[in-house]
Amino acid sequence: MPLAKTKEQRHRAFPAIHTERTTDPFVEGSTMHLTGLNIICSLLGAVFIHSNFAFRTFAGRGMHFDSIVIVGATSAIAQATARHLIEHCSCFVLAARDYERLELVATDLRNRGAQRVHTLLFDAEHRWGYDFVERISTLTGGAFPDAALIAHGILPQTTEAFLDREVAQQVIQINTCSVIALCADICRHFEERGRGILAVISSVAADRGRMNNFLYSASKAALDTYLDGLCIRWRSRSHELRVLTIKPGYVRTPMTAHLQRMFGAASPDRVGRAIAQLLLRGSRGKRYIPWWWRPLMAVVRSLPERAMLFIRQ
Amino acid sequence: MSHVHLTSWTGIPPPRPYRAVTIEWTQQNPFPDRDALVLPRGYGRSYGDGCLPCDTAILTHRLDRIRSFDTERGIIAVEAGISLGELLRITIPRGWVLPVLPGTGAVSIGGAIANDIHGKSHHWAGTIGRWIERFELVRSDGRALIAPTEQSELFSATIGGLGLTGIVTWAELRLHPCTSAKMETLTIPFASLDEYFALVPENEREGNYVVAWCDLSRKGRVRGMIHVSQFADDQCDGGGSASLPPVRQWQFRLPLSIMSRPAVRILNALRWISAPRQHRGEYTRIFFPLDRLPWNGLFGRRGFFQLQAVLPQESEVHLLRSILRRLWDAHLPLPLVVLKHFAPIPSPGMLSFPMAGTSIAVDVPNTSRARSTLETITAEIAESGGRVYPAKDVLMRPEQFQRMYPQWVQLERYRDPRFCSQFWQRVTGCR
Repeated sequence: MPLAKTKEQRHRAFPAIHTERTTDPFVEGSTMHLTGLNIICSLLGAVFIHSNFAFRTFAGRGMHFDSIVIVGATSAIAQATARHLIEHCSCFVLAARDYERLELVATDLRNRGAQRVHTLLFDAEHRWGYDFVERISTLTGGAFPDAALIAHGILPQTTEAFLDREVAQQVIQINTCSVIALCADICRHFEERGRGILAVISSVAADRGRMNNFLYSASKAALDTYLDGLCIRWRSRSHELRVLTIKPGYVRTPMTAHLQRMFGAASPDRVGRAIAQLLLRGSRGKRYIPWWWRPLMAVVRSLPERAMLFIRQ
Repeated sequence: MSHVHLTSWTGIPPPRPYRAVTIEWTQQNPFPDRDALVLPRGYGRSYGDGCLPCDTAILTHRLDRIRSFDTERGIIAVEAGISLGELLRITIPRGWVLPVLPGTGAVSIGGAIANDIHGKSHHWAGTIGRWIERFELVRSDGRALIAPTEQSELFSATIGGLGLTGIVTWAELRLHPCTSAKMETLTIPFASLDEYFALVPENEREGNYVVAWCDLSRKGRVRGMIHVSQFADDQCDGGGSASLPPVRQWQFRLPLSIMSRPAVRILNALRWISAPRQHRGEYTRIFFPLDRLPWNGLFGRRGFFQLQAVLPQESEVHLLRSILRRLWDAHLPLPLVVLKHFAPIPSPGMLSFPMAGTSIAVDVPNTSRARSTLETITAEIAESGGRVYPAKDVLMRPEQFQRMYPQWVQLERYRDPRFCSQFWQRVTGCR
């Protein structure tokens, strides 16, 4: 093959690895290759960021906490989370509605090696007239814990629940009002102290109302917006004030036991382990569990209403 | 109430949807509203249809809390759905171990009681029924606390009762002290059955774990290794349960079996060559070899059979030789053959499997020839006074079962009328 001397000849012989820039890049064949490479790099980057490896390697900004208060401690996800935190947390304060179950969970944690476990009866369905932080501080005989996980919530059992005034009030009270009221006390305390981790379990359902159970979606969406704002406020204030909005997909728990089919259902243990990791890493903002709900919900959010007719779950 | 696809661990019978109820708390009423036949189910590690309900499964895996743990006396009360592997992660750092452990950690306490499981420690520990102090049993007519001293008949019916006498919600067990999280294993090769029968009694001691693996891939040749393990004597506390390996549960099944005869010959040769004479390692390596790889998935969608039978002491050598001859004559791939000596330790269980003699366990991929060979072997065992393990059986005929376990009539009397398994229907015809 004769040696390519002029620019044109060189370009014809080696179009792909042609390096010299011409005046108009869009004329060149090499632009396509560059675009392809960009796509591949960004995909690899996304995978890398979403993989555990990236977090473990580059996070290094975990915020130490020694004690945690868990509201709704008898829920399946909260139980799993607490178990995964035993090695890292010396004091647990568990709040829940049912005394017998709460004692079973507390005894289990103690037997698994938790050093101090306190319990508090707490009913989110009715308004309460006391300062939650003060109540817990007297219970522990010292300071309010550095971290709080709010894990209670209900899911209406039927798709026609929104037609029932009582049920609608109950869902909004438990899922939204009680959580925001708790946050008021906890946030005031954390802001005074200048540090604290507030983690709240929301749901992927909050991202878009669907034909079934939009009552639940709405109650969680309100929570999402509240926490979104709080997160931005705290980001502007201090490095040590953190809000974590946990958005699990379908989880096989008693709350979802009546659902016939669940897309990509995770076990409570998996979700609990992920929450414990997020807390220990000091993550903030919205976190989807498992991670693939994030791109999926991005698509679902952008679907037109007609397309939502086909999403029945 | 939802539907789940269930099968046994071997994949026989093939999976199909069943109604299922998950119980979360010991104090809740586990029975579904409608009047259906139920069966409690843990992690589904039975090799046969003993873990498959006729109608509705009551899933107990969420009952995984510890109710009390006396670290001084080694007595632990746990809910029935906790797996043995998970339990060991909690007890071993504090110097206690379950005296009886099967080949996988993904067995629930409830399932262990229902099948009165045995392990590599049978020569000193017997079956798990001997270590149960008491348990709570929920029957369709109420719940009761059952102990060997009170309601002893119901206690004995529930130990090895295949989950038919009610749901065990929690149980209290005695543990055995251990010195470390590490185990030391000595591997002793043998080149014939006579050598095996000579070597086993002299290696069995209180507190150690003995099991023999056999290579039968060449016709007429028996060779294998006796693994003798005990806890290392280094008095370290293991550094908390986070450092201990978690129970791994594989969800994996190949479309076709890879267990052909040449493959098995290569695998066995590799295992024979690579086995270290002395080894020190994690306890899971000794106790839970089945959790190290997705063993059941390697046999493809058709699944596999495991024949586990105990051969009575008087005729064990003769019977064992006859069984091996039948297996060789059928030209079956035999990827796993395990021999174990059972001591004459009585179990409190009514329908308990172990008795004095030798236990043989053989894994065979599911083919029609394997089925017919194993059926002949089962018939031979039934005739000569041996027993087949109900937890691992899909082939027994009613008359064979009733001959091996004449006590079944008593168990049938204690069976809760709302409980039944496909196994019980098959071997007794009761509904």
